[in-house]
Amino acid sequence: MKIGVIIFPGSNCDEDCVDAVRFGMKETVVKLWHNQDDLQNVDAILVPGGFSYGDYLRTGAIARFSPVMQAVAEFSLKGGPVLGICNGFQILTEAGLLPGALTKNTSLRFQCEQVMLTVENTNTPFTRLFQQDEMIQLPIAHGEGNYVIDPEDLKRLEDNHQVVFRYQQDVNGSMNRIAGVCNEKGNVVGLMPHPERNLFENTDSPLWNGAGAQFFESLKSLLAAVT
Amino acid sequence: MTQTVQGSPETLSASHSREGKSKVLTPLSGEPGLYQVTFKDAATAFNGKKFSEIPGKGRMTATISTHLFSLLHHFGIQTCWVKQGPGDNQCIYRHLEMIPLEVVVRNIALGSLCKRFNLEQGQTLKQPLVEFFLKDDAANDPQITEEMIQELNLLPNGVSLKRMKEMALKLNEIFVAYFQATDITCADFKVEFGIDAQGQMMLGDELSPDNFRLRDAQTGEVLDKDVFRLELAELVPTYEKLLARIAQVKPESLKFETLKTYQASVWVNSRKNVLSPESKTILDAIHAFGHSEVTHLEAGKQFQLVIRSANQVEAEKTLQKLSETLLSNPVIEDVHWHVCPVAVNTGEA
Repeated sequence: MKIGVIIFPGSNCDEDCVDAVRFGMKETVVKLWHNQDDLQNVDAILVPGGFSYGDYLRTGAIARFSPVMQAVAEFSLKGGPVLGICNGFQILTEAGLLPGALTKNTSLRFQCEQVMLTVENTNTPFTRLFQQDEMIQLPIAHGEGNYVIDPEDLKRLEDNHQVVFRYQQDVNGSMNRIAGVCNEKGNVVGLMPHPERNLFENTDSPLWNGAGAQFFESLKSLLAAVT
Repeated sequence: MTQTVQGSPETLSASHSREGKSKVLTPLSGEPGLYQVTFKDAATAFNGKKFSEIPGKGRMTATISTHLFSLLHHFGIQTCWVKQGPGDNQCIYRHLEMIPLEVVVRNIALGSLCKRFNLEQGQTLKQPLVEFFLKDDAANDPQITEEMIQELNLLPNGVSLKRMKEMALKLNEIFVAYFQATDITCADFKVEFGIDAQGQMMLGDELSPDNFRLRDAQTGEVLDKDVFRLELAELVPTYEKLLARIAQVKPESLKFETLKTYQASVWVNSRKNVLSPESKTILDAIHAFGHSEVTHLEAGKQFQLVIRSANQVEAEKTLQKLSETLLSNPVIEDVHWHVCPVAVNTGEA
């Protein structure tokens, strides 16, 4: 199987995602530049974190118009698995592939810390190996992770079980403490925390318990089942 | 001295010479269907209420009409005009059965339009405006609707108002580009149509500054009959100045780039029900600064754009699309926008 990692001018978590595929999943990885529209027949797409196009206008607003994102939109409409992490999540909401929007943290600070999350939906390509309501610890690093959505859309989101991850405590002001969501089909997932930064367990450190590895193992198990 | 002739002079009997406010038409002997048209040295305004004898005017209106008719022939528009001569205040016209309508095309609001609709003099219209007036001096040439034109049965067989309108807009496109080439703004003009012996609709009347409003695009200097109407300058030297400028323009060099420049502003704010930490923090600072009388603050973004577009409606479409899809995110933001033409100097107070 072949996993694509999108690279925008300003992406800085792309190599972490590449490593997650190469050393975590032990699968083939393809780097896809923002200005190309050929996804090279990859089986899944990772939209990594960092920044894109200076995040001018709004975070993720410009990236959405890049050729590669047009191709990603088509790929997702056909049911292809897409994971957006941090800035990748912001881009997917701006592109309309995920509901809602991400705005400034209520703290007005760039927040860089470990958070506890509940996995609330295990019917996505990236969460299928988690237990329902499993608690995991992942790092966050963002200034604009405050998830906002219309009240009616929020209700629909909750009713459809599209909230995939929820912070256990308020972190950035997100409505209903939402940390990550999926689209209606469940094939597109976005979250603010960084699973690719917590891939391996290190018993000497409380920061490293390998919770992020399950994202990539989930994807691998799904693709192995269908291919 | 002058005699008011009901209806257009060109409609009159083929056997007699007849005189209108600005032209005398004489059938050409031995040339059926052709007239010799003599442009008078007379200027009238406000439907004949203001009148002056102006030596040399006939020569200027004949010569400028000749330039403008030739321009239209270059672009394949059929007209009554055949050639200038034999005198320099004369032209040869083909006989047309005239439709008793004045067709006015306006790009900028000036003159009677401003009085009728309380518009600002010199305001650029959102898109070219076509108006119809009944040719009836006794009734003061009233504006007329499509239904009334049908009621009075004014259109000959095979002529539709839609075609006249399309034709008028086509003429506008040519005139605007032509005058623009010599840095003159064509604010509005009036034309009249008729049908020839074969029932073909074509342009009649004259094409002189008597029927146009023309302004120097830079200085706003008036280059049309308004100099006589409003007593701004001598008429003949003004027409000579205009002729000298348009004589430089080669029809084949015209660029039909009729795009205009619009200025636009877009304001983006957080939606009312969306918490804006930035606004709250600034408001807290204002309160800490001792100004508790400030009770609400909305931090936002403003964008200034310049848009090149065919008309206001097109510019608005572009701006609306940009505002609602790129410049703002409707999930979290409200957007307001405004677009207006970059001001044109009209030379009027």
